[in-house]
Amino acid sequence: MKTLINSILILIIVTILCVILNFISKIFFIETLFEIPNLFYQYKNSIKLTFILNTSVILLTIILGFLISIYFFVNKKDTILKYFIPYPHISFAIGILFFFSTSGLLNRFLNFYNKSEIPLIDYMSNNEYSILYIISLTMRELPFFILVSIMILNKINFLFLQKHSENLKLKKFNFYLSVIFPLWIKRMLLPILIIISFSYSNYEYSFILGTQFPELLNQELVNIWKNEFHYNTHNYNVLSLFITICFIFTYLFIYLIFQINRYLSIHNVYRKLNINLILIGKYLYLFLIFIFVSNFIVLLINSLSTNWFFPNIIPSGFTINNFLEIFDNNLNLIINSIIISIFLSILSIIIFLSYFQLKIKLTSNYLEYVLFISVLLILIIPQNIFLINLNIIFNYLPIDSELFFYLFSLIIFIFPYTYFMLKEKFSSELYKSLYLQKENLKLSNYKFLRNIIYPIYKDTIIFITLIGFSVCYYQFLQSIFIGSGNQRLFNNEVMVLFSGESAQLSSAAAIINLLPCLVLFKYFKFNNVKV
Amino acid sequence: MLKCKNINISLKTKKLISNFNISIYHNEIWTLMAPSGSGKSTLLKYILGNKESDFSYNGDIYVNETKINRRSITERDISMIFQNDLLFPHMTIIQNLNFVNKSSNLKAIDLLKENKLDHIANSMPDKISGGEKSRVLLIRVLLLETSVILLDEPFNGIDTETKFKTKDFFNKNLLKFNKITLMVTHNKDDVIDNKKILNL
Repeated sequence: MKTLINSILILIIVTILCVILNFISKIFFIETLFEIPNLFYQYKNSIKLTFILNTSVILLTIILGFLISIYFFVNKKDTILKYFIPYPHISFAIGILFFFSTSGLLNRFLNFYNKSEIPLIDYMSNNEYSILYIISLTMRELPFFILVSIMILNKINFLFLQKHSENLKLKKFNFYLSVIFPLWIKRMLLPILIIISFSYSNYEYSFILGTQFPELLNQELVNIWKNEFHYNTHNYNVLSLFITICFIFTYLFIYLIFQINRYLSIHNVYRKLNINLILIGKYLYLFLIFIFVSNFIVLLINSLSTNWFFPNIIPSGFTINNFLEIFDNNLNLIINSIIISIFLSILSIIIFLSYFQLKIKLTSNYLEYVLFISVLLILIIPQNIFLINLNIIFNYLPIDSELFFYLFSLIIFIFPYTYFMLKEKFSSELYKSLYLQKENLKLSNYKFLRNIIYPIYKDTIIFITLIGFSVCYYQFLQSIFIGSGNQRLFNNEVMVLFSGESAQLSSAAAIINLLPCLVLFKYFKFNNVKV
Repeated sequence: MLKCKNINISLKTKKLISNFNISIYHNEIWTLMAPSGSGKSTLLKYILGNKESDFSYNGDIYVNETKINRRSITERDISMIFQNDLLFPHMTIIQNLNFVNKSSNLKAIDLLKENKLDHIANSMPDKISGGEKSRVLLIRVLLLETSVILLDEPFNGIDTETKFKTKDFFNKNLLKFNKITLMVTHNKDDVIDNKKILNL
């Protein structure tokens, strides 16, 4: 009951915030209401598709995530999944396409072994697009979800519960599904909301994988924003509303399913079942690794090949010219993206370090509550809705600088990560006593930060800078939503190259886009960062 | 001179300190004796300028005839050695001292040599004994050149023999540098000047 109340409360907060943002930004809200029935009819297919696909993604992510994480938890293994967390969505989507498409790597292999002239997967049909969308988004969401899930499992008194369950002669399947799963899902509320939010705001997957099919609401919203903003505000108001409603329904639908599971567990429906979930988790994990590794391989082969005609498994020639061409044409953009990302991630850290200094002096906790709720909402509200409303609010403010707004809209998505990671360290007693020493020893702020905070928290600060860097570097929607699209990151350029250039060049761009991810990988490896 | 006038401290409805008054001159080391939990550390922190959120305070503090109630810790001519105080763990002893040294006359290494502590100059804080740590903490506050020094149970956790030497070290240096000192403790053995004791 408590979970239900909590869930509904969070949903109400999210909805209220969306509505407030909408009201602030939409001066023609009443007119918008009249548009709802017409637009509902117009977008009926999109709404249906968006709801079904995203709900499937979330359900699959939860189920697979649980199975893989209990496999890791029970076997006490260290997972390599952390290296996949910063894998850019756009590169992943392109890799998925080049792997599964009619002339993709999978079909080349199948064709080679079956000697079939007709590709087994006909990507150019609607159902396959939907399957591909679900697979790619689920797989890409899983590394983050599993790592959080393992952390949550660590907080559950697993061994104690296991002993009791063995004593009660529960089968392992029953134990995992009826005892561990309900405890686990209760604590996974936030990660699930974050994943729903991302599914409802992503643009990369629907654009790369489904350009020729009925578009998802996310894509429709972007299209309307780009084409009709200056003379028609109704459509995107209504579309934002549709997305918010779908978002809420997905959450409620998933909630309902897990309540049914709870009901079945309580009534011992699973008592006689005995399926080895750990083994299933293991195979799913191997499948996940296979998807990521094959994704990388297909991009690498593509980017190094001169040409690669179907059904050859090996390209006719290899070259590094694709990389050189991308570097030649985009070096400025890459450098700009790096500078912007480093600048904003460091700025974000400085802002929050100052906040944590201020917090020690504050006698009430209101600022902390406001900040906590704000960063939480930045994580939970679908990014496209958030950005559009932010953009509209900015239009009413006397700020004329597009660049300022662009940078602001980038840094605001770094804030939650910086805040949560710094909070853990800077709310500690050690930090409080260091700060007291700073005051007692009459140290300046600069001296305190440079000589005390930085050396003691060096690892944390570097790690957060890298995370902030990768979060900013891989932001996507800002460049599409803001201004005329002049300010963009290299991440966006990969999509432009995908639309206009050869598979070889777009693969090379997707691989180059992985570089910051590799820096993070190296950092994890050298510093032996564990989950 | 440090002057505390009518200081009251309470925790919610519980009164910890009521009408506390004291005047301490240069070259005096006063000890405030009180059992644990009576609010003596809170009093010292209030004098330093570090108010804790759960407590309510009133009363005036003067240093050299100037009222300092509204000044921040950094602006006050007061420094303190806390109970279980810390030396920055990533710096050696000499680095810890040089780092805070604002004095143009005093050099950290000279003070270490004078007090026969130069052998630990390049040691890390976790490699020195409790007695040595207490002495280094005093040298550190001496280098800040504040008029008032507050000591919150500075000899906690030090064995009797070492405590005797450390007390002597504190007495010698605090008088040499003409400091106004207020110490709090619950232990009679910690008192530096037996003629200047105040019971709470």
